[in-house]
Amino acid sequence: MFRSLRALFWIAFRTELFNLPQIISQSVFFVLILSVFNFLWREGAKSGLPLPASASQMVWYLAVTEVIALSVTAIHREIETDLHKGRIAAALLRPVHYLKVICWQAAGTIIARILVFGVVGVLTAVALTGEWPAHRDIALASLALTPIACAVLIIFIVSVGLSAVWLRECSPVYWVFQKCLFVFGGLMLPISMYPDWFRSIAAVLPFQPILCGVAQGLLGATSYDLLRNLGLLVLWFLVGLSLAAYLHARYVRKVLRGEL
Amino acid sequence: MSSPIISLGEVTKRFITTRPLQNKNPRSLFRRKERVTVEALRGVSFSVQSGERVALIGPNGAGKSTAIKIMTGLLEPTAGTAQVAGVVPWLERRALLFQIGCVFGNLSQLWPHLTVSDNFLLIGGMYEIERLELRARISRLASHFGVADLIYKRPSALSLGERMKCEILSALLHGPKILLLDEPSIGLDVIARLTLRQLIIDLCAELGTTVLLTSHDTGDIEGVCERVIVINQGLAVFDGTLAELRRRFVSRKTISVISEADSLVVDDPRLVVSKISDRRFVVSFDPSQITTNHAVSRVLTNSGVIDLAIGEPPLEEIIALAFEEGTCSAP
Repeated sequence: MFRSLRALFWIAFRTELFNLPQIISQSVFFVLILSVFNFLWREGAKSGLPLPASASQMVWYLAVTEVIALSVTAIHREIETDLHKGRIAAALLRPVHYLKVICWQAAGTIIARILVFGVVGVLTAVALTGEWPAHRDIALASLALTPIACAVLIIFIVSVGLSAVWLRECSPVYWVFQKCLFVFGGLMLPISMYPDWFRSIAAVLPFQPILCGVAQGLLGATSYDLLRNLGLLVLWFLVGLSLAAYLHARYVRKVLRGEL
Repeated sequence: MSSPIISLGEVTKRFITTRPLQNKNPRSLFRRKERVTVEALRGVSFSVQSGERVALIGPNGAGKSTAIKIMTGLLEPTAGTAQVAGVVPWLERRALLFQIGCVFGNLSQLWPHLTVSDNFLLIGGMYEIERLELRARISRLASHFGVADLIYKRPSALSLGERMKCEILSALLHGPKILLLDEPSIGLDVIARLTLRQLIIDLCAELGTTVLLTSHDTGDIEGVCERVIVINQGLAVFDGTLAELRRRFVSRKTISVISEADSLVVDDPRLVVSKISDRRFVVSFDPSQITTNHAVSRVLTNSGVIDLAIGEPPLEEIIALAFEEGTCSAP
């Protein structure tokens, strides 16, 4: 079993690492975003905008949330195509479960992207702010949570992809999911800057632990906060995994009954 | 004779499904659908010996897919027994998947964003093949299939025929005892079809792989298989060689005749003469009433016969007759 998962991981890792046009264009976009927000936060700080941390810390925060958001690929489209072409049904005749195949391939892709965007993000943040994160230990712990956050994100995107069994197209669901991630996850602004009612909604959704919960270490969160976030990530991963497994099982039942 | 590699014994499969209630049915006021039982297989039995090449044919909805799903462990039959490669498919599905390889003509199982070589490495990994052994198998099979210089391309850059060769190669990487081919030549041109058929035959001879083929292309059936199982309305209506299929379902034979004369006269009422063109005729007869020998000798009593050829209806017609018989005999 391990050999198959290792093969899935490494081939996806290698393929993604050499997918240069995409990696380069997204890195340029990443640098651009960080530069624009660096300028924005500095101007905001000068004009007295109540930021939860210094402009430099805000840039570091954005670097981490963007690494997570950029590292996760549009796997839902792949699943949708697999569904429409009948490849998920055919995968029943392979000895490795389809969800394992898709998740381990995604893991290989994500790790390759985290490495590339991580390096790009750190170098750009250092170049723009001229300093390393204030709380280095906590910042490193935050970075260590990044792959786990990506895993949670990917498992929910797998569920979004599998929704195509009933909806035919999962793009509208993904569109809503992505916007919720950006807003309730705190992609650009930490959730602490939002009003109370918004924070109470964000607290019961999986998006906040994925982005803001991980990047809060760059804003001076305690190790307890990160540990609590790790617990939440594990919990949401299990929820996402159960949802994906349930949707896949429903699909398989449909296939076996000849309904598809 | 050794024990069969595939054996199905009185396999029955019933599905409970729903269908919309007719508006005139008073119950449709309260319920929109009703449950119905569909009998996809009704006591199908057959066995396949190791190394045999068998075609499983039947019209759409005959029960072929259900039979294949049972043989691959995707479905458990309602009644009956089945053994494939020594295991009960639905009880030991994972073990079975290492013994079978599947190829679908209308469905690529290769990942389009990876090179063919990476696809093979990935599939080999899934089947837990050692890396060195896997590379050796890829190299051996690729040269056998004539695709050695294609494996660094992506599947989308290959022609349909090349892709199908790669699909079959990928299904053989783990050395399956049984190869299930579902419409393998669909969309292929004549040359590619012939090459593929020859490849399958050579491969079975070399590796001893058992082939179970489903196809609507009679060329595939004739070119690859030595035995045919016809399934219709959930019943196996015929199981035998192609020659037996012809013997059983060919009700008329024909003799095409080219003559010097404008007319052809045969003094036997069991022989029916039809004029095709000026000097071309077709004489048809029922082989159960008159032997081919006798029919030919009657035709040759005409002094002007230049050439003649004995013919049978094409396999399509014979199979259609087999399907019809199945329909008629079904209870």
